[in-house]
Amino acid sequence: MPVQSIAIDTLLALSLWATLRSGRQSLAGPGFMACGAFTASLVAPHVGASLWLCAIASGLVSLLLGVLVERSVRGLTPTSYVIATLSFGIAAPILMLAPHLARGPSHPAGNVLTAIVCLAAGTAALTWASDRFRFAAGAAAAGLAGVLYWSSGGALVPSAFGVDRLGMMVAVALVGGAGSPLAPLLSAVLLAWITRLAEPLTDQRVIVDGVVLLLALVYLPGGAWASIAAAARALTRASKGSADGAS
Amino acid sequence: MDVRAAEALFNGSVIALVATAATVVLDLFGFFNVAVAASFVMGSSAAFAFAAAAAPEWQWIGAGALVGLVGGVAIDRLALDPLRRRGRSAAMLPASIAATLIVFGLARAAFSQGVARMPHAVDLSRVATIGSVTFTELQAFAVIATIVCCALLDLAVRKTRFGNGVRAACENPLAAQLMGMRIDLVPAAAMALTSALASVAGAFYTAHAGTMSVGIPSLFVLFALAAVAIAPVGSIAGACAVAYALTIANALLNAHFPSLPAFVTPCILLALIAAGLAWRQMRAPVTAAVET
Repeated sequence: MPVQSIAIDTLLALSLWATLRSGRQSLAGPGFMACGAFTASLVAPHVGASLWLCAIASGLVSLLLGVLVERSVRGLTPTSYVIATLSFGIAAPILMLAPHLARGPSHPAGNVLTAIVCLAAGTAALTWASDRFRFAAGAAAAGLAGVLYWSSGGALVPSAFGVDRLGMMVAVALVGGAGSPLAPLLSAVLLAWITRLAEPLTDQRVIVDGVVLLLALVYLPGGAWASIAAAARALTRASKGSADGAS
Repeated sequence: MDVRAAEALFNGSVIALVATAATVVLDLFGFFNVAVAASFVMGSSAAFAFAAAAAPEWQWIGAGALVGLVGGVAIDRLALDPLRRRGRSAAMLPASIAATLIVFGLARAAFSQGVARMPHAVDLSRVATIGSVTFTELQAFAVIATIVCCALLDLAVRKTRFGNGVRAACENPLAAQLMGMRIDLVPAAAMALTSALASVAGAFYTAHAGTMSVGIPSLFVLFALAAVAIAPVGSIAGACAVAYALTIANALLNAHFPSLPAFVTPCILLALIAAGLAWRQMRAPVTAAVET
């Protein structure tokens, strides 16, 4: 379950990470995630509840929706861009899940292998996507997060993709930083670990995410990935220097 | 229809308060303040706590406003000010999201979700008829309080020395400082006022729904976003008017087409937001050209 939870957080954060490099902040991730979960729940009865086929379908639908949304918001000013993507992120779950509520979710049990494969696919897509398709690739990654959420027994209700989910996405994406597509993974692991450490103090994960995000914004403006990369570079330089001195 | 009209006006008041809080911060500080959701929950929590302590009904809303005022200052000092001092304006939006997460978590830790219904509000559920519309006292109070609060804030921002100071401090902090203004206090004051508005919205919502809200309803956020997108940035009267117009139009739509699917309203709101932002985008170069 922690692996799936980390994979969901990472994939969702990749949808924001995709736009961070261009200096924008897309808050549409929860909408694409809801789209992925909804698509999976619709496709599952027709494909013998195969999780792989559900994941492919959800990824593709979210990708196409991502292309459409990106075309609509591309030319907006940064503030309007935030309002537009936030509106999509909030409206999409209501639009998709409202008619679905009456029927209720039915899904197979998720597994760790699917989570890892989806995570690898999402990260690879973001690594190799050109700037033009990065938003859509991020949308597809969020769609995969939706499949994992659905397959692990998450309830398909709009509140599951609300402000909390948005906040978690922002926390994971910005604590990691824009340095590498692996930064959200590092950040998700870090946040899961800190949440576990903080369990004696609070069982509210959102508090931990909020505090860590605030501290990261103030003290690690480039994100944890940039700090670790800088430390690694300094270490390499130091070891190289000492090796040169010894020779 | 009259019951729906009163309900629509009440919902319009809640949305108008949230939209006003968001558009004022957008105008003054240039970022969309997601922390209005935090203020909403603070107001809801305060109203619930006072109701649970069997305080008189009028104190529920007062407590909401007060908690919002203090919470706004706390959010500004703890979350936004450290970034403002470092010149990281792009980080204001995520900081407001972080503050929202913390407030949501604290509210949930303090009041377990759906723990209890509020005691029946006798005074606030008294009925009054104005024309052909029947209001409960709470609904009537919410509409009047919203209009008065928004009018006063509009007056304060546009016509008073405080408002001019806030604008000057936001547009040119150095010049404002040279004029002898305490610019460090200006953002906190503006955040406190806007947070109090959103907080009162939360208190109204809780008093009306009869249960504690540990989050802001998604549809309300969407309505507020539509009001922010359609009304000119910073226009308090515009945001209020659009919020009321949208909720009344929605009530009329549901009254005439009762079997309308639930997703029609969000669809229409999304289209309106897109149209509002596109209109703003089209007008931006024109406005810039006129200013130069």
